[in-house]
Amino acid sequence: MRLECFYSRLGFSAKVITQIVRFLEGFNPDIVRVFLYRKEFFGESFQARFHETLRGDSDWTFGERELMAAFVSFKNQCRYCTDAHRATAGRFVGDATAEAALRDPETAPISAKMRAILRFLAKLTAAPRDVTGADIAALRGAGISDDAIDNAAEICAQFCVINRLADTFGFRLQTEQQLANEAKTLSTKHYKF
Amino acid sequence: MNGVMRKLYSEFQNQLKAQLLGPLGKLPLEIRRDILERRILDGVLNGFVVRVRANATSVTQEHIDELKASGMDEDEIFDAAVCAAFVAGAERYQAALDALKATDDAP
Repeated sequence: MRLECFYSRLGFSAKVITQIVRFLEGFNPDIVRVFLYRKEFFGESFQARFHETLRGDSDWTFGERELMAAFVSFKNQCRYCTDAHRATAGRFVGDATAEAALRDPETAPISAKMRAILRFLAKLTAAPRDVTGADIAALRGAGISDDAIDNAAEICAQFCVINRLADTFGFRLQTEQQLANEAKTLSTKHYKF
Repeated sequence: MNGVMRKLYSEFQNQLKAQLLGPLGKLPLEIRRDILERRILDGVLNGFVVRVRANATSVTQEHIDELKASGMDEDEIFDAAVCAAFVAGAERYQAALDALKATDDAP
């Protein structure tokens, strides 16, 4: 990564956590170090909310939310996050479906609700000022509840933050094996350290 | 809409923003505030913050080195990046919230 402090200035408890993550996944994803670095300033509360957003109560399944996370990351051209969440989504919905949804939601084998929400997220990610009540009406027309719209918007907001940090700090891309290990952890456990 | 989740996330964003403006920040408070309020900053920091907010994929090691050469340390660069990224996320959520409210308020 581009800041040396992520390696040299983690506190004792943070170092212990990185060792546990390394034990579980065989390596340390860079996101872990960023969440742990001066965690009281940013990472601790952001990560806790991350867990609520992606694994808390919602109309959306875990797989659908992971797919949204991957999709927003893909639209932001964040390779690190796209890889990680596409792999995790793939464990829930299948790799081929996850890949197809990223490439073209209009033709991917996903539900009408997912197609509608991905269309909305593409706009919210790239051109938030163009989002209007008509976009919301279209989502409601597709049978999506306002709480589900809200959850999707929250995913978009959080990944627009994390994608930027990943690219700014130069997160190292993960190997296929590392992605598989991480996806297994995220799909069977959770986002809390 | 029962608004439960929406309210909670708004609260979270407000709490996080307060945290970013709190005593644990290393970048001078007025600069953190300026970033969070999207004000124009002095020197090379302005270009960096705009880049993080609008086109983070274009950030390179040279941009980080430029900030260091201007006198910023890594803690301050971290704070600047986090505040700029926070703004990008908050803008998206607010846009969705505004659209939801617009339909709620429609006759």
